[in-house]
Amino acid sequence: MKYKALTAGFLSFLLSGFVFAEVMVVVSAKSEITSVDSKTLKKLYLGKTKKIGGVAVNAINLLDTHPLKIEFDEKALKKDPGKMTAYWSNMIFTGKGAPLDQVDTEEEMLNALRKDKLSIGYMSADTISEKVKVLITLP
Amino acid sequence: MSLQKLLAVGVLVLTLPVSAFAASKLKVNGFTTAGFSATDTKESYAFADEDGSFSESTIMGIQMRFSPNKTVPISFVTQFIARARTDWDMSADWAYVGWQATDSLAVNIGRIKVPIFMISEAYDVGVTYPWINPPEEIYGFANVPFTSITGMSFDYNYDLDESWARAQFYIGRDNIKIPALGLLVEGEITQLAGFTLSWGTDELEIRFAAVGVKVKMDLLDVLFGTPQAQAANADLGNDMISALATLSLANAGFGDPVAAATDLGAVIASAAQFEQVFSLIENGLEGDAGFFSLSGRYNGDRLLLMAEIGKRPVSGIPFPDTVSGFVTMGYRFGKWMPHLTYSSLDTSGSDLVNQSQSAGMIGVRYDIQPWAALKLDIQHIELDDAQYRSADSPLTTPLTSSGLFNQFPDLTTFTADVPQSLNKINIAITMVF
Repeated sequence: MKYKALTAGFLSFLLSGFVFAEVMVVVSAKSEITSVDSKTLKKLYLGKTKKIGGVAVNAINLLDTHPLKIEFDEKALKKDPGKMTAYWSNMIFTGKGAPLDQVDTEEEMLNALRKDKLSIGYMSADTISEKVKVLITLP
Repeated sequence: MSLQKLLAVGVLVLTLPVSAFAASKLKVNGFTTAGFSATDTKESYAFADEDGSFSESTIMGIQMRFSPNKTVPISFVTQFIARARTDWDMSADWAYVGWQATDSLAVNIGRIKVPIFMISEAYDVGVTYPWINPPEEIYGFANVPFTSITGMSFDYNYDLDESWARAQFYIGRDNIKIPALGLLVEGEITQLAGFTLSWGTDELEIRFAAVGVKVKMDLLDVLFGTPQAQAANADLGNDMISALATLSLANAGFGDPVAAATDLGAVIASAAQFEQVFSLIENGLEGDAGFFSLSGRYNGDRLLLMAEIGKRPVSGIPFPDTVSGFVTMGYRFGKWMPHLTYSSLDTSGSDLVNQSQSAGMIGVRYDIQPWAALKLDIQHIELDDAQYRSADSPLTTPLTSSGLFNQFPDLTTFTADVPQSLNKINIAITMVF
């Protein structure tokens, strides 16, 4: 599993982001959340809210170095890796916010979402299963 | 529960073995900077001289955040920082219990950093700014002799349509060490209260802050306890004894009574001056100080602009009022960001301390990784012209600026013999983890 993710990561690195054409924002199939707008998604992943339409959610991130995370940050948050580090360092070390939970691979992301219906995450089309529900697809 | 107990619980919780908790409950993050700096002066400036030093910018910080329960919005946060500047004495710059009371209100109780100036809270986290250290003229100990207080803060965050607004209110107290005249003067902030208002978008931030403090210190004890003051005092005593002895012998016929009397007169005059200078400084001083800051930051895709102006009025203690500020412009070329900065410090209203200076800096930041950057700063610093002392001062010589040099002053003039300009180079690597 890890090997596959590493290979995928390496390939995407070589092709500089062209491998992951789409990033899908997902929640557990059991979640009561059915949609999320791009503004709320941005706030969730910038640590500015922990709710979607009044429902508590726990946003899960991939590791900072994961190619899909870099892709997600650029598409959903419009920030490159350097700016993300500066942004989160400022949040974490100045008492403004807690870092989001992180997982190493897309498979772990899938597991985390399956286990906790309050979680929200993102993955590529390859990892999607019937255990999760797609809220938006970032082109 | 008292504040101390609450903090004790927080610290206790954090010392439990990490494995006792699920990974998501305890989060450990850190930052570090390793830097070397050198000036072209023999005299020590800020934390470096011509021999170079690793102590100016080298620091290590570690933060632990424990959130016991996802459904209870309470966290225990401690951040320990060890700085080469303070001989690696570890300080808890943050140690608080945080309560997210509502979506927009966070209450922190314990030890918190005081957000006096734009970068005060992130002062030690190098990846968040372009230079190796925020401009010393405004962020240095000469202008802000404390960083954290023990107290509480209320932090309101509002999300507007395309922008955000933030208001912080905080109160507290702390023990402080004020570097002055090449010494560390111990004191106490008996009361501190302040607020910060800021507004911004993704790229822009405008900020205003005001803080008021009441300060207590024993400057005279510290100053009189220095070897220099003790030596000067002993010299005067010896001079007095020998002048008296010479006069007695002269009166008994062994010498010239007129010359001996003149010598004694001179000794008495210099003792009187010494006395007068020290009378400027009283024991058990109490005073007030205020800090005001207006700042703006634009952090675009490529362009970075930052500007800040700060004002510090002081009363009741022999430290100067200050006006400080800086302007920075940087431009990103991929992983490289060259930047230019002008910064200045104007001190006034003190008969003992003049630290006015201004500096120009050219620097470059290179992002090796998103989480690690290599930085080089080259700075030229010029000290301002001498100031006149107030009309009732016993000292009549002009008060020359000693800038941010760490030189003990001549005790009869309170000026230090330092170069009027210098160059400084600083190189560092900074990371977060």
